[in-house]
Amino acid sequence: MTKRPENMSLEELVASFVEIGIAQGAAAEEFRTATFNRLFARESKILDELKRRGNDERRVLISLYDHPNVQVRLNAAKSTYALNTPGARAVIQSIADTKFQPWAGSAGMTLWALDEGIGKLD
Amino acid sequence: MDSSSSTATLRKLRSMRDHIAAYTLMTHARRLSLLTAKAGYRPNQARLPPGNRDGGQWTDEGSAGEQIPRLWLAGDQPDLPPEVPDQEPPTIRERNGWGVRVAKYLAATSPTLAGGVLVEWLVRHGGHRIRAYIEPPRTLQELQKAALFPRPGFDIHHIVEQTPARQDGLSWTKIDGSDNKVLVPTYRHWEITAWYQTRNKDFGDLSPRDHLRGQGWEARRAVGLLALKLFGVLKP
Repeated sequence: MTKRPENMSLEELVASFVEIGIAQGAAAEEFRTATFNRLFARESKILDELKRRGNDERRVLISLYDHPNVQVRLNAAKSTYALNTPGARAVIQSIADTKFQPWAGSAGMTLWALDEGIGKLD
Repeated sequence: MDSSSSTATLRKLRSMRDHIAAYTLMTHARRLSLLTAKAGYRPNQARLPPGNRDGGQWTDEGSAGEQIPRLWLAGDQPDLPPEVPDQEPPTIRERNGWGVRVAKYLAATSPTLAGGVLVEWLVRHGGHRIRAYIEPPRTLQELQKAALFPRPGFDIHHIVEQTPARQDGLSWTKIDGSDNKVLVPTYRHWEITAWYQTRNKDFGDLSPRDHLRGQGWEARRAVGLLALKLFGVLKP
C-alpha cells in the first residue's frame, strides 16, 4: 500500500515525484493518456504536500533539473517555476529545443502559455 | 471497365505503391547501415550502462499495489537505436510502439548514428508511418493541399478539433472546411491528439481540450496552428 503524501518523509516525496515522472514519460511515449492523467493527479498531491511543508519544500525539486528522464526534468521545472523562474525556464526551453516529441512540443506549449499569461505555474 | 475490374486494378495499384514505399524505406535504412559501418559503428557493441536508462522504465503505479510489467523503452535517449525484435509482436499496440520509437529515432539522430533498427515486419506494419514521420515540416498551404489527396502513413487532422467544436455548437461548415483540414503524419497526429487530452499545469490543471471549451474559433485555431508547429508538422 502506498503511503499517503502527508505521511511521507521529504526523501520519500521526492522519490515518489521521480517515480511518477518516469511512469508519465512511458505513458506519454505510448499515448496512454488515461494513465498519464491518473499520474498527474498523484503528482499534484505530492506537490501540494511539499508546498504545505516549511518554507515551500518544492524547492528540493530544483535538484532534478538535470535528471536523466526528460519527463521528470519537465515536471520539476514546471513545479518550481514560481520559485526559480530563470532556471526553470532554461530547463523548459532546453527540452523544447530538442525537437524530441512529445516532450519538445509540450515544453514549447508551456513557454507559449506562460508568455500569453494563460499558464501561471504558481 | 466494370466496377469489379476497376476495384481490382485500384487494389493492384495500391499494392504496388505500398511495395515501392517499403522498398524506399529499406533502401534508406540500408544506406544508413552502410554509413554507420563506414564510421565504425557496431550496433551490438558493449556499452556503459546508460545513466539515463531509467528514461523509459515502467514502474509501479496505483495505490493498491497494482503491478505493471517492467519494460525498458527507448525513452528519452534517441541516440541509442531501438532494439526491434526480429519476431513480429502479437499486438497492434506493441507493433505501433516499435514503429513510433524507430520513427523518433530516425527523426532525431544523424545518419552516422543509425543502424540496425528496421526489420521486415516493421517495414510492412509501419513503413509508411515511419517514412511520413521523418518528412520535414511543410507550409500551411502544402498541408491543406495534401489533405485533398490522403496518402498512407498520414491522417487528416482538423486544426480546430472537430468533436469539441461540434459539441460547442461551432459552425460545421467551418469545422469540416478545407481551410481547417491538413494532412499530417499519423504518428505526429497521435502526439498532438494525446497532448490535447492530457492534463496540464499550463492550463490550470485542465487538458488543453477542456481549457478550450467555450472559447471561440480564433482562439482554438491559434492553439491548433501552434501545436502543428511545435510538434514538427508546420513550418515555423
